[in-house]
Amino acid sequence: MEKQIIITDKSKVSVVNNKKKRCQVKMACVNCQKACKKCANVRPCSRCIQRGIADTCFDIERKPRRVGVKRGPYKKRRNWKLEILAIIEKKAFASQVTSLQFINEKILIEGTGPYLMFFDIENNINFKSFNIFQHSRVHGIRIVNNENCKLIAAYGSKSLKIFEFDILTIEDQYDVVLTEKASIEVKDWILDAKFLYENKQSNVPTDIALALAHNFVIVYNIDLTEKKYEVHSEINCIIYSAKFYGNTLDTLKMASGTVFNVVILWNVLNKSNKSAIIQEFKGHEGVIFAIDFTDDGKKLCSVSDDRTLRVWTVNDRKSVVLYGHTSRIWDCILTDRYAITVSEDTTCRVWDYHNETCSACWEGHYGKDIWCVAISPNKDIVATGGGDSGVRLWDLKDLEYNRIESSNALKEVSLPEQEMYIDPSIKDTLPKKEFIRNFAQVDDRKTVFITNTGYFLVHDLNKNETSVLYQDMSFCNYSMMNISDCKRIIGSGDLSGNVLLLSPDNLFKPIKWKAHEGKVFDVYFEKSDDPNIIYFFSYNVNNEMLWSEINITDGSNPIVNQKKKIKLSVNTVMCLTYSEKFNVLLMGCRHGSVIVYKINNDDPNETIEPIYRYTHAHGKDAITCITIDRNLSTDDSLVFHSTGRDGNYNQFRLTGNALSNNEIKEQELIKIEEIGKSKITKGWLEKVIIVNNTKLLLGFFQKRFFVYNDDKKYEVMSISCGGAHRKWYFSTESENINKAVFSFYRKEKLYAYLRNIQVQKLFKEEKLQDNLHGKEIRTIKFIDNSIIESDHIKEDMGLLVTGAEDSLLKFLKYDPDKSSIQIHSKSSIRKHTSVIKNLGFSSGINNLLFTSGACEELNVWKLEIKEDTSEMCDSNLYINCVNYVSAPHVSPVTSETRIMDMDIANLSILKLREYANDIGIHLIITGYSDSLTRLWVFDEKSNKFEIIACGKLSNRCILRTKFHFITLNDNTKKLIAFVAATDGQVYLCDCTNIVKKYLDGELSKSKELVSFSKITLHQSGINGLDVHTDINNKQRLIIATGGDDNACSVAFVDISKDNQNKLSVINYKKFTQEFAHSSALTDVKIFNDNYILTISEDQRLNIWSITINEKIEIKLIESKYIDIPDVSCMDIVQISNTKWKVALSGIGIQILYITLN
Amino acid sequence: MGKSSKDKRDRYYRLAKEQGWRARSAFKLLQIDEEFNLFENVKHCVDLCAAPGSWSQVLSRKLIKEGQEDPPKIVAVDLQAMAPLKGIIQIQGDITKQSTAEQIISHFDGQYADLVICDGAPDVTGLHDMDEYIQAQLLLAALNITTHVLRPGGTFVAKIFRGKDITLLYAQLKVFFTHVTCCKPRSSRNSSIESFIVCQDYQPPKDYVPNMSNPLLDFSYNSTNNNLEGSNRVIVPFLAAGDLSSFDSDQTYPLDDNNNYKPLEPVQSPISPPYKTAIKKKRTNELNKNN
Repeated sequence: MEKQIIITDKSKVSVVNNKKKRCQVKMACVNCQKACKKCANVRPCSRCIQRGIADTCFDIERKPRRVGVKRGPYKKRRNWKLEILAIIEKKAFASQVTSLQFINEKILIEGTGPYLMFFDIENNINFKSFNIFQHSRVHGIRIVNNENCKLIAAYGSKSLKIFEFDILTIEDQYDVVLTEKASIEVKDWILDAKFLYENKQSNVPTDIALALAHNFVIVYNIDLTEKKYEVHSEINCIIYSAKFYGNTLDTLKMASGTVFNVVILWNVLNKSNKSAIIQEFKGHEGVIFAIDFTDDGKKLCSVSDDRTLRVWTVNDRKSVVLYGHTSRIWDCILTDRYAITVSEDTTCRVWDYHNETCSACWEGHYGKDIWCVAISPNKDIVATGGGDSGVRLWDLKDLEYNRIESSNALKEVSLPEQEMYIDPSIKDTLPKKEFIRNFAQVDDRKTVFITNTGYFLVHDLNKNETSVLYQDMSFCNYSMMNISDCKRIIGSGDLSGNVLLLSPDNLFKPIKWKAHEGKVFDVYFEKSDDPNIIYFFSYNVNNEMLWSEINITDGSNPIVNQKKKIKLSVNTVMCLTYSEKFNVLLMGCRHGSVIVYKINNDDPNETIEPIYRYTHAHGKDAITCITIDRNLSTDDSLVFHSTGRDGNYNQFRLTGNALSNNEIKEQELIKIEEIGKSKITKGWLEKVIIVNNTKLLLGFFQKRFFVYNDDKKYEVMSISCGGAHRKWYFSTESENINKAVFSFYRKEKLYAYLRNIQVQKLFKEEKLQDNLHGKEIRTIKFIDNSIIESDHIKEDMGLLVTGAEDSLLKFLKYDPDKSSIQIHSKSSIRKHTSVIKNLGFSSGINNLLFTSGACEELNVWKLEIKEDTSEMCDSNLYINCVNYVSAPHVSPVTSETRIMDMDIANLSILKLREYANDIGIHLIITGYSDSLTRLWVFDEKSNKFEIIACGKLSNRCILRTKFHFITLNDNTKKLIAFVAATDGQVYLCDCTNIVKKYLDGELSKSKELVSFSKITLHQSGINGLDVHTDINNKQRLIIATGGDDNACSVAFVDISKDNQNKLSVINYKKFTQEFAHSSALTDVKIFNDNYILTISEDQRLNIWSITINEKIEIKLIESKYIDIPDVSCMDIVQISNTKWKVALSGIGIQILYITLN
Repeated sequence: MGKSSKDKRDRYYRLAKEQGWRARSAFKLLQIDEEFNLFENVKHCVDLCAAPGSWSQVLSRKLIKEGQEDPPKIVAVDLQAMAPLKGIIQIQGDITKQSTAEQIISHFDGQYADLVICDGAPDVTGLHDMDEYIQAQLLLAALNITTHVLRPGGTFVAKIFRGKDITLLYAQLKVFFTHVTCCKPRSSRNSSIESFIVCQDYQPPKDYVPNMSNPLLDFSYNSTNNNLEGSNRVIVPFLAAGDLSSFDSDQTYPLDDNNNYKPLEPVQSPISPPYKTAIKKKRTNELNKNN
């Protein structure tokens, strides 16, 4: 017989001897004191009464307390936090989003780290954030929102808190008041919480049920003061997921997802002796991570390690199994219509489980993991929260409007009956079979096409009527066709070199002239700065291009003039664009090259030749579109965008004398730099269009045409059109594509998709919170104010740069003045192929940023940051980070060797040589995983990296490298490199002579780097290393290290020089705090001369003060729990006399301000 | 990461295949043994969460010698089946069940174990707090069954994640053992959160009665045991095991002879992973991006 265990009191589960200490009385009586027994505060005391000696029960006489004596063991137990020496204030925060919940259709709550963040989704504002937990993350949010009751329950790990909330509206802006009502720590991990009511009619909850990870349920009253009920499931195992269904205790059911791959549905309140299990749903092949019910509770879905979504029906054996995700599925939502799942593969999928198909695959997060998903009460808006800290909104109605599946949505244009348009007199001379050869889309109703019989026909898509525009026998069987952006002119070319200009509205007489010898390969239009001047390009097989200028001021009589002849260097031009400002013509070619032409004079008969060719702009794939970005271009640089059939969308910058109006003499001075690159699709990217300042990218992938919003990073629309097409048109009036036309030509037929819908927008922006890094952030640095060009430099600009496991380099900003804790992504660059582990700044001729990491990648970037505060609105930030030079790969085991750490020294600041300024020369030290350490020089004048020294200091993997510059007592300057490895040792190397020799030009080949001293500071790997010169003794260095062995070490090292100018350590003292943290330290910094900051995998930040008397000692002065896991790197910058800002990174970012008293 | 790539990046991965270990974790136990002499005078030994069996392999190679009169008894327990190993008694069972504990004892003829080891870890999700909690529960389950089978004075070795709440776990272990040391073998990567806890001299509290139905739920931070934080917290010493002449698990080593290098197949491939069907469907192209 199966039985259910109802546990009434299991509070004594802990095996620790928790014997209660007897309560202390103020003063014992003489008898009790003598007997060492418990006394009471009343006289006579109970013990004396019991023993019949009440008459002798009086207070003992106290001995006077001696003053000035240090007392007993309780001194050690003094609260170490009593004297507050440092105040740590939490500022900005971003990490994995672990929960989301809608309050209504307009307000969303996000749970990230210990924070509850409130969003106004109509206006895209994070209007309030609360830090609600001390040690836990918010894993779940539950809400009651009706006129009688407004409650939020938030849980994470073993903590649960209940708040009352009130949403206020002040001047169209939301505000929220949150009042903590109750809080509790339970003994097990909470997986679900559910408000419970007295009866079905009530809307004020009286209890709350908690589902716990050992498959049991506890019900508390709403004040969390009383445990009302506790029940264990008869299946005793760990569960990864649980979900309640039901609003009252007697109807409450729980679905548990066990580690044995089964979903168990059971009654929480069991009234009879029967098994409480209602049904077991078996089929999953892995652990179950989430479960959800439909509103009626008749269906439930579960998602699992086995990459499937399964939809189960209660009391039915059938299940729907849906495959599609390529990795584990973390969360799910089930509605009557759809199932929505989010996965480790960073996609959110919407499933039509009735038809067993996937209706959408939304990709709006980066890197790894979407952790949570929520749906608005009306089931219209879906919100997803990622491991990349991003929060995205999705409109479920998009599925109906923006994914066009059926061919019924497409309008097929067929040729009218021959009798309708063909002139009987020439009929016999025409080809027998007729079909559409080419076409041009004029607007959403009008299409012009040409047949193989040389007829130009106008078709009205609405009326389905066709009329003849023009007929010309020379356009029989072959014709190229294009239409100008203004849709006023159609251009065409034929087999024998004739070109033709037509008005689609028949406003002017067709203009035809012989432009070329032989077949016209293609024709293009390009607009000019004057709306009435249109450029027209045509070219033939012999690589001759003609450039004509059409003046259409008089719409009925356009005037055509030849502007230039162009000599093509390749025969397949795909696209072109012209900058009137710089007189530069850019062409994109089939094999991935960008070709630059310069126009120097007005001579129409001159043939211009290419002045510069930039190859592999899109690998070897065709460039499909080039456009000039007028906003980003400056007086001396031209910025342009391109799309290609490699699926990339790239940005380039053209600089040099191609832009000046002088004759070009030196070609080397023309430069094209890639300033941005993003892979949009695995298919073809065909075009970029800008609609209302929004960039829309158009392309084909598999059998579909898609429109991708690049600003908001999502697919706006996709049409099943059979595959990529050679000839197609797309135009839209608004970025949300309410009105649009897409037409294409396939198998001699013309198809059009016309769209005119009115969709009410439910939210302002798809992106509610920026996506940061999708994987662990391995390096973080504040950007120094000296690099920022702005008229309002503040002491704290809140600008950061980060590098991460997802190989992205990112520029981030938080607002130090605002209360919002949000961190915004300002720019991101993908150039590294693997993790970026290290960053470093150095300013020589330019502001440089060095990045390095795995696969031995070492890059230098030119950094320009401009803040434009001229406008009244929020400041505009321009970040330009141009890849400058990559260092060559040098290791024998190339691809696997990682650069573990790097430091930069700016030789123009160090001034190792008195007689030269050494400007633009930077010294870099890199430590490698194959145990080598290298010294590099980067010279900005020659743009070259060069190795000047290399050494195997340790036999083990290097973990940290650092430069430190000291001036000895005789004013000799010395540059010392510190190298730490997994053997727990720090090696000291004198780099001065090698560098000086290099600068003097006396270094013919790279030297061996050797250490002059090594000190053992840890048992195993040194993860943090910082060096500082003692303020009282400039030959004394303070070395602080943090190790994998939980210890923090401080060493005082006195450096001295012998007569051969060789350095040695003459005096050395060290102190190791073995128990600095309870886990491995990951970084260490020295600040304010004698303070140390340590971080560790135990998620704590400790501040230590160094005291030196007889021996060195480090004393803990403050410890703070860090809200981001896996914290591995930090940066600290002083912002005032007593205040520092600290950036911490790991899985997320946390910014703290430290004030020392 | 491909096999050759992993071989270059991780010397121990390669070494394990060369020496026939089922997993590189074998080196971790060997290095812990170098420091603690775990196997001295061990007659009865239990390997919990044994699959794929690399720790059992170590026990087998270290404890069982040819021609021994009374060879030590080794019991390996796991939920999953495991390929057989010489001299190892296998139990396919759940470590949270009383019957499993009884089964172990029966193999020792009623005697208790001298050494209990556990290298079990859950599949990590990426939510660190969750992963650490599940790992702690696994460890507590292992500790719970250990209190049923370990003799007083015996040793318990288990894998831990040195995360944010590790102090709580230390506090719990200190209740049962006189010496608790956190040990990180050099074959365990510096960047990995994993460590091993070596608990010596099992001395259960006087009134402690082992009980399976009463899981040892872990401690929590609250006002009554504030000694878990700050400078007065429970302190467990750290020891790096294995000498510095051994290979460095973080270091990139060149493949000895690039021309003759052939990646070795793993000694034991994973048995039925949860994503097996999904992978199969992907390979047969049943999964397409949009359905």
